[in-house]
Amino acid sequence: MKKIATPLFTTVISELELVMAKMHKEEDKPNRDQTQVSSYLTEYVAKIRWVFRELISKMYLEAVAVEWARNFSERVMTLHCLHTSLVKVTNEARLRITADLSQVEYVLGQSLALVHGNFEDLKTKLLFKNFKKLMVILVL
Amino acid sequence: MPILELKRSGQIPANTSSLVAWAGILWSRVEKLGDVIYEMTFKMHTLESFLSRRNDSSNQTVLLEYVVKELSNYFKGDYKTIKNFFWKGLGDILDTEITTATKSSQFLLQVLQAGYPKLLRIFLDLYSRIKLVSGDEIQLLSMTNFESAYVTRSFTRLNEAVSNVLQKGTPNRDDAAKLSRTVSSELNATKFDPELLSKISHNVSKSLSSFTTKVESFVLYDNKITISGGSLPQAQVIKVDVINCIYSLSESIWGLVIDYDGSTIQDSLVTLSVVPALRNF
Repeated sequence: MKKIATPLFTTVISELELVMAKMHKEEDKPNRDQTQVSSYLTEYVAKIRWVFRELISKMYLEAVAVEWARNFSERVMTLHCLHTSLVKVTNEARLRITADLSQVEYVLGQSLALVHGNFEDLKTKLLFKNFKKLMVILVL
Repeated sequence: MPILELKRSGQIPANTSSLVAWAGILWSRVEKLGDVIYEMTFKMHTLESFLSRRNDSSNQTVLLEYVVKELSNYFKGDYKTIKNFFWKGLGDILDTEITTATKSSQFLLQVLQAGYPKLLRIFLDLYSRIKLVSGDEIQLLSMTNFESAYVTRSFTRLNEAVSNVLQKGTPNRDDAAKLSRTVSSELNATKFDPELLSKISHNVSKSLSSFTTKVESFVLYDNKITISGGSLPQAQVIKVDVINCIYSLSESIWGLVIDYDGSTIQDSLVTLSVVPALRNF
């Protein structure tokens, strides 16, 4: 039997990556509130919530659904970091990027709880935390 | 009087609902037949034991030898013991009576085919009781025809269950539950006999393989999905329903494999890749 779920999630990740790619077009103006998240993030987290609400939570697969949710979250976090690593980090950008990472982490944690998963079980749970530390080091 | 002839006494009216009553009467008579054969076996064994210990006073020949010789001459056979004569004779009578009765009564044939596990269980029970008395391992009746008819009917029931699920549209978890109940019921009816169970589980394997193949036709493998604020598009709803159905079915079947741990069902359902195929979505 052909795989049904894997291509589905691959397509979903691809669509999220298209939104993620908008981070490279973010501009930091001097008077901008630096604690505010990036403009692409609203759409980005809405799509993450949609995936969990409309797709994963409707799969009554018990431990398998939790595993898929974990795999999806880890993939999102990894790709997000990969894209963020290509962004030019300036003084203005670092707080914004840090706020973005915190927001994504929060949304993923909430969404995982929806399907009885736990953010602490992710292999990438420390990824964002360490990346935020890197933000500080890079600027210094 | 033929052993398995059903006589309509007129006390039970001849209509569809009375068929169940007649079937019940048939089975109770078959069970009673088993008891009668067991009693006769006991008497035969006692007789043979007695004759084997008594000698002819004139020449000290064992009386059993005389009896066996007379039986062989009269019935034109080569019998070493009374038991040989007894089992052969009884087996021939049962075969003849059943063949004659089932040729003349379609109802009888159908009841015996549909209730083959019951028939097998009665005779297996009889054989084990006889073995306790006389130490003999016997087979009185060839039930191959009934068995093959039952196995075919079982396969038809499984395929009908699969067709019913797929006919109404995309299968869901409730459909998976219905299918696994049918599978469980078919296996449960035959679990007392490893050989019959093996054949039924082979049928189950084929039906489930057919189900997983046909269910693919419901899925659109175009992988187009637009993440919008609204609900899931219909093509993706179908995928989710199919995934839920297959998962639920594979969990139920896996549960059966564990329940029948150590029996032949595991070989049929696991090595024929049904359960892995069901899980490989």
